[in-house]
Amino acid sequence: MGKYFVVFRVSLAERMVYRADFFMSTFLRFIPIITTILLWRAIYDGADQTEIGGLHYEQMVSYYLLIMIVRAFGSMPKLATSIALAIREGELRKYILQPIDYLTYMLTLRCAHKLVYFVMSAIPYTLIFWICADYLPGWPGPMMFCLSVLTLTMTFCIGFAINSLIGLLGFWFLEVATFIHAFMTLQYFLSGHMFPLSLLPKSVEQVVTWLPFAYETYYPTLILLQKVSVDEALRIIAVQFVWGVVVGGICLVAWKRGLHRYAAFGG
Amino acid sequence: MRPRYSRILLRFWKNCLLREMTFRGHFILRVFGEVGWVFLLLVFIEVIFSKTSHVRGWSEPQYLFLMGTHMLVTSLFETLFFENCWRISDLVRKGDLDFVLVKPANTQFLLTFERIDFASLANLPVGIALCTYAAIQGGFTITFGHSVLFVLLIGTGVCMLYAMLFMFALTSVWLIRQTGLDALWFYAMSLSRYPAEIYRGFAGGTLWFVCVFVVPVLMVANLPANVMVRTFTTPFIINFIVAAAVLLILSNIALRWALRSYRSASS
Amino acid sequence: MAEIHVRDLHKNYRVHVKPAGLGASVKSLFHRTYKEVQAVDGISFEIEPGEMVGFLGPNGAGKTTTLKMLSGLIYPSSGSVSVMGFVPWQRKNEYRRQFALLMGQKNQLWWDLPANESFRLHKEIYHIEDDLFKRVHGELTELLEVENLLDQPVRELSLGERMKMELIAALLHSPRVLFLDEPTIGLDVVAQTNIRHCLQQYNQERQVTILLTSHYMRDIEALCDRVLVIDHGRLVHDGLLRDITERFATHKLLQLRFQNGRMPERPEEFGEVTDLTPPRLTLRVPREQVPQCVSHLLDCYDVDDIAIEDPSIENVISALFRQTAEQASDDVVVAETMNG
Repeated sequence: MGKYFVVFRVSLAERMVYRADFFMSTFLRFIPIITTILLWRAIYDGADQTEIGGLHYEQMVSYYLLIMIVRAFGSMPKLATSIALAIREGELRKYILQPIDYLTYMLTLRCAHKLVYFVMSAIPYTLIFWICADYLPGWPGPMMFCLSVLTLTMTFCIGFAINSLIGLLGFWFLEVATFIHAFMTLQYFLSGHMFPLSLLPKSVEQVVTWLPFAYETYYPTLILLQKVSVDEALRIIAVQFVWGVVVGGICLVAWKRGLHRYAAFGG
Repeated sequence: MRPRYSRILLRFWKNCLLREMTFRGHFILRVFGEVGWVFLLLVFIEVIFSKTSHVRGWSEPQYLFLMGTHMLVTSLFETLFFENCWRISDLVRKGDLDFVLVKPANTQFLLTFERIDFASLANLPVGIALCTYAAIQGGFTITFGHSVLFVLLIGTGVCMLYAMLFMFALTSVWLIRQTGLDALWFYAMSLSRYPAEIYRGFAGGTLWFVCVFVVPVLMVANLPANVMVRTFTTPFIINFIVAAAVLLILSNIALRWALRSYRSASS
Repeated sequence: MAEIHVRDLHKNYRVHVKPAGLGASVKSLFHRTYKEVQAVDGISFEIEPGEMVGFLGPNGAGKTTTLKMLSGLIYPSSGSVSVMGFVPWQRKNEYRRQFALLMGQKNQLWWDLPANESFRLHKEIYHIEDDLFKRVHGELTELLEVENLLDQPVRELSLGERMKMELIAALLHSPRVLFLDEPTIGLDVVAQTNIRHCLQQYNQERQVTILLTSHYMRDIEALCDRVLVIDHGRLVHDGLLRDITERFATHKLLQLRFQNGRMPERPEEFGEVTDLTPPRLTLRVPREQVPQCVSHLLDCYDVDDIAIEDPSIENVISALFRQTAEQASDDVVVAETMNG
């Protein structure tokens, strides 16, 4: 455990140093939210119904705000790219020789990154949520709060597993970096980040909400939004767990097979 | 003896094409990603107009025309300038800007045109098709004069975006590590995609003011689309063109200024 | 009229002092400390047309910084420079067309394309006429023996082959002045010799002025008569390479062979013992003590053979730099921060 703690501390210090781009990117992150909310205001004003996709205007605003929180847990910027790059450039060999498990190492790094991100962005997030307090559903009860913490933890795990898996594709394909870009575009839609998946035609919705991406972001957001009952929330978390185990399992298999191939071909 | 810029440009493009042809898989994935993104945006528009008939006075064909215009602007910018602006921080960090500075040709020219991204060009025909489709659907009457103005304004908008992103990229001379350019471009696009009329209220109004007068990204698609399918005022167009010219001049001044602070990293 | 004229050149940097540790880096988010570093601290020299001059100094001494000011990449803090009558940092096209900069640690060729494509681009940027381009291109590729590598992507070339291509790219426009920063770094001995040979021949044929920095003394020894030694941003020596020993060698090597096997019992009293294989003894003796030491030895022992030698230039220089580096390891660290 000790060596991972050192990794954690070093990367924490490293992240702190570059302040300019950090503050800037945290604030900029809210711009698309504001424009999307403004667009929805316009849509609700033009529509003859008060509920769209099962959501009031206030809930729609909350949806976009809360999905930011969920994304903050689930998104893994540059994780897949750095894994793919480590494979391609032969940097992986360094980690294989050291008595440190590469994926655990990456997970530790990611925890450090996330922690710093949460600490650093606490102020802008609090500010925005305070301004938008009227739209938000109010504090959850203790039960819902626990479930929210649980679902966000699962979101982090699924996010890490999915992104690692894509990075590990680097064992077999050269163009992973390009693929990641196309994939992120698709994920933006499939995870409900673009708009709530309940707005889709029923047949499409049924397929899309079955995928792990919906369980990574869309359903947790509904839990945070308190749109679902406790039973439903428990079901969601259970499915999240299953997806986490499935994707994580595939990840480990890919890692083992990939390493085998790596050793055989010498990188 | 003046450098023959047209021949340098041709050689740049030829080299880029040769490079693109050596990575065909990459190219195909990129095109797929670009066109896929547009497809998702169209899905969103379909969802919107299944709930309402107008968005702040924009009918569906008008909105689609705006979307098409936006695609033309982004596609042109990304093809010609994005990679070049993106490269600047790398050139600064690795010190490879040295090689640009010692060449007997205008430094801004070399920095601006060295790369061309053929994959982004894929959205140009898609944008034209979308505009045409929207114009037929809406039954808009479009004169030759309007079309010329439309093309001129798109060019102006692209120049404007270039000048702004170029200046932003130059900040890497001081910050050394700067990775926010892609995020910034993403945010600029998520702002300028929508009808300017949706920016209402305190937050919307502030954003509108900033994005029209301070960082004029909002009008790059809105103005040409308005000229074609809605109404426009001549003074606004003149201001827009003047603003673009001023920004271009500023970008050159910014470059000179940045180069004075350039330290030229050693390795 | 000198080709390169440098007068009292200074370059100061303000560097952010990066603190170590977590607490300190949190603190640096809000408050940063800076330190002023004199990378180049008052350098003056002149170089005549056709001269080939070596630039010596430890890491962070200011060699590369000076070279960058001569190429017009960075602005000096004060002082004046004239190269072929131009002020480099004005970056006039007429100036830039007449010099070339080659950096061993960087590459300017298009990574994924054959070197020839980069050369063709150079042809356009430098506005080289077709005939001239063909001739120079042919000469250089022949001289460096790379004719069959021209159509391979640069990324597939070995380091040595790539460096040859870089050299061709730098020479295509027939520059009058050539700045070379570590042109042979990381290359194997064959490639080093190859490049050295090419530079020598090029210099003789065209009378180009060459200023070169290198870690390898052999480069300097083979190519340059005159060297500039720079340390801590100051010029400590400007003159012939062999004069360095005169000026900086603090010791001489005394090689002795004794008769009858009778040797000094405590040779360390005479100087530092570098080799002791009876009946031979090698001593490193401070210069001023040499006469006294020799007479003493000759008086007391039966000496069969004696030789007094200067240490090699390489040793003199590395000793010189080691000595100053210890005084200021601090500054080197700062210089590295600046570059990284």
